[in-house]
Amino acid sequence: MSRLKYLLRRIGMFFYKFRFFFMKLGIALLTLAAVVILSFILIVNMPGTVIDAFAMQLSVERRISLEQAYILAKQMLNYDPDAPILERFSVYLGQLLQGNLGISVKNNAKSVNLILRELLPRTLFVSSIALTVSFLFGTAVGSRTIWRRNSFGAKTLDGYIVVSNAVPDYIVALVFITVFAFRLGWFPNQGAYNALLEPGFNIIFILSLLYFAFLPISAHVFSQMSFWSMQMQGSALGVLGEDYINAARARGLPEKLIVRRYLKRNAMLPLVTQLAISFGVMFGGAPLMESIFNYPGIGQAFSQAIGERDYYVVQGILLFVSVIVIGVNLVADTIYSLIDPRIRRSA
Amino acid sequence: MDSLIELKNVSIVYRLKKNPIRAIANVSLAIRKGKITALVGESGSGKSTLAASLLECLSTPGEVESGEIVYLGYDAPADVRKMAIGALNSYRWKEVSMVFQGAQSALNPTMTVLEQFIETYLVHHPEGRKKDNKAAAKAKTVELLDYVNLDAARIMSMYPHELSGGMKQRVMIAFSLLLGPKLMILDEPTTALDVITQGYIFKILKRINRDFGVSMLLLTHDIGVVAEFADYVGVMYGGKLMEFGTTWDVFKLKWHPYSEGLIRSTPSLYSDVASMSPIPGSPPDLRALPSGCVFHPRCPKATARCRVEEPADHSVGEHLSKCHLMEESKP
Amino acid sequence: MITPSPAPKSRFREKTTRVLHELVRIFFGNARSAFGTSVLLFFIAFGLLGPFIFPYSTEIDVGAQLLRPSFEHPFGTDLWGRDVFRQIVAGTSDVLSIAFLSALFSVSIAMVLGMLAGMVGGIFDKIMLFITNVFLTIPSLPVFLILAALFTVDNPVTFAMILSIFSWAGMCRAIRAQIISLKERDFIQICRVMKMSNGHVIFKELLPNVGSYILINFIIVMKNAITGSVGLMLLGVASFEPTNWGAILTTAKNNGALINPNSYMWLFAPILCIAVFQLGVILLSKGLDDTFNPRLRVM
Repeated sequence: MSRLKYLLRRIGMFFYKFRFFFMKLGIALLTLAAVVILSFILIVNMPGTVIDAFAMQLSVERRISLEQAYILAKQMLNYDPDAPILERFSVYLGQLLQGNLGISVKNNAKSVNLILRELLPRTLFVSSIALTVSFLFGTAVGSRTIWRRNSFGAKTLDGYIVVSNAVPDYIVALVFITVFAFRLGWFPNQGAYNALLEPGFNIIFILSLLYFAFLPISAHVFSQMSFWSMQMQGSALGVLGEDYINAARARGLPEKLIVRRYLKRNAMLPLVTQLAISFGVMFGGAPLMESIFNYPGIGQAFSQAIGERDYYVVQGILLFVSVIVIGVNLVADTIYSLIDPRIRRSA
Repeated sequence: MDSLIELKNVSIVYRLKKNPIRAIANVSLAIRKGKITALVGESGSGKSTLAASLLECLSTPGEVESGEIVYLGYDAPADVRKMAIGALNSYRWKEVSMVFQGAQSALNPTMTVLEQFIETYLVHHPEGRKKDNKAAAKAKTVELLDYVNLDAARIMSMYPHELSGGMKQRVMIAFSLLLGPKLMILDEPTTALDVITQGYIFKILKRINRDFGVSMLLLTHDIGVVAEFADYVGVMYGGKLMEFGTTWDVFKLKWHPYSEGLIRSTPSLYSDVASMSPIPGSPPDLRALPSGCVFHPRCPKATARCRVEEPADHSVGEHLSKCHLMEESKP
Repeated sequence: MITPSPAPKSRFREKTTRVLHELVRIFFGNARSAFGTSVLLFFIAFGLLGPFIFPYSTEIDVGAQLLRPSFEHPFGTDLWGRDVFRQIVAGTSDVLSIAFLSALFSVSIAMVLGMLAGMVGGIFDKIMLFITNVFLTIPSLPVFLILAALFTVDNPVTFAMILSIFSWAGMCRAIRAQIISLKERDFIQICRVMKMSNGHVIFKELLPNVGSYILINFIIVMKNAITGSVGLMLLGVASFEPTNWGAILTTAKNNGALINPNSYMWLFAPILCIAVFQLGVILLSKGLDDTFNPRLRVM
């Protein structure tokens, strides 16, 4: 009897010790539930004509009768508009738990999972490079404007940061594609790689990838850098006012060392959570940017699906991106409490 | 008398956007070798600014407007203001070190105590093998932490936020001894601590002064501490040095009315609380200092002359007082 | 001697002048705010008076297609021979109203919910925390797109409402945090001891403290609303007034403005206006931030 009690107590203590994590996990799951409900609402609001059109398409393609096609359509979509709502919901839930995100109505019943699998790497290629570059450069620029605020260099950079924060990212994209792709013809204006090439791990293909991705990445970097600069500015300003900066000077530490280990290191800490969140957002692609550059990624697929009213693709991508973002946020929160020594060891 | 550092007519200004503030006006001061010199004054009297200027470490809008800060610990006198950055960084901490007020945030939160000790040591010992220097630094760290009665093994690998206030202060004292400086500046070392820890810290400081012969500059507003602890005392008010001399001279003779007021306003264990008389009024606004003698609005002995003319420094031997009344009564 | 209190009329005048002085100090106090406010006022004037000075007609004039900028057509003409400059003038009021309404909605919701959550606490607070967390975590753009597609956007109010859906959450959290920290401060306790009414506490004590934050964020939400609205228009999910700058931009893009050098002005005119407007808004927000949160400014 006491063994059981002992065991229960140990389990209880485990939960208590990590209670913050479990609480966050709980909230994350609830948020996910909200998203699932949202996408279900989306499905439910699908006008009946969508299924009818799909059925018509099927009946033509497969040369079956319309009634048969309709039944087939309902089966393929795993959705019966005439069933009671709770039943529809449980069916939907079951499908999700199996990992099936549905099929594309407009695209030959292609599985949404497949679409994601095809397009995700391209989006990630662009986003991850852009994020890394803009973070590194942005934080460097930001801290440069704070240390020695009155130098000419710092003031110019500061002005640049303000202006580039004002210009929205799609405008940068529009300018880039107009000037560099259409006007000067230096870069291609659509696609992810040379269509004639065979995808693979060879150097030519990778170079082609980079060539096609150069403009979107540059546009991303150009506009995202300003965000990181501003964040770094805010954080570094706070750090500058701390006593340990002056105390470090008093110890005869050279300026470069202070900027590196005292200013930048402490200023970057709060930015790491932001970085993690951006990492999650990366997965959603940027529908607008991708559509401007005609870059075939998740974002473009998403906006296209909305335009074409391809409901399943829309909710599939939405769910996928949400899961990633929620998951990444959770991880980021946990990691931050681990890396900040101040939070790490406090009981 | 052998001096270690001499300030000659130093004025320090904080150039704020609206009105510049003169934190120190024309102060001349000598810090004696091997002795403990205290600087007392109310908040805003300029003590911290003066101390920071010895290390050329004024917080940003501040700058030394005029005067010389001459360090005499080298073979030849060196003006701190004119030192090149390399010489300055070598001078900092090695010749003169400082325990900041509220050592709560004088340490980098992302580095352990040992890492920071080693960092400073390595910066000041660029020659030789890094590995050897690191070992030497670590040994010295352990030795110093032990000296201030801290458990070296445990404290070394801790982060600043894990230390209590008293522990942090002792770490900072150990840190300031790392390179064997000739002068240690202590800016209100115990203001944030309780009385018992205070006594403890001062015991340690006294021991340092005795064992290593380190000169000390102690900034405080606590007269009691000064009386017990310091060899020399300087009294600052409104950015000016009002009186300076040996502790005995200043406390016994009380030449300057402000010093007299300060000493009289301290409660004593012996006499009645009623005999305690605080100085009326409040410290001056540095943006709009009174004319003539800065202290005249609050001085019980002020004359018409005090309102108009700033007093000169009158000294007899080592004892100095900035007061017109000195001219009448020369002891 | 007891002097009679001044007549009510002059007291009113006193108070008004005092308020005006405060406003001038806030909005024109430093270089950035002054510039930002000027830009904003300029556009407001443009939006209100512009259509009367430069009326715009939707007539198609095929002969005047894609003209280069000239004195008569400062921004050239579009594919249908219509003056771009006048289109922009006509669209200014749309842009402004979307921005302003969106900020109004966000701030109002955030303020009410945030203050309630902070003051009432308890289970209501916990629920609010959860709801704001959901809104902060869910990626906004996909949901925007879905909402815009579901609800036809044909007037500024709907547009503004959709745009404000995500902006209120962050502010709500911050206001709640501020209220909570203020609640514990001494001067609020004193109010309680003095038995001042809740209304007094809310309006005279708490609000002024969060006021600066609200003002600055109002401006920021305006900026985000413009960015979001143009983005949505470019994606083709919302477009009601063809003279809205974002709509002009979209139409230009969709009609080959990217390729045809003759139509560059058509494309860049709205871009220029958007960028200048945003710049003004950002500078204003930075200037206000400087005014309300002064940091040690060195020469």
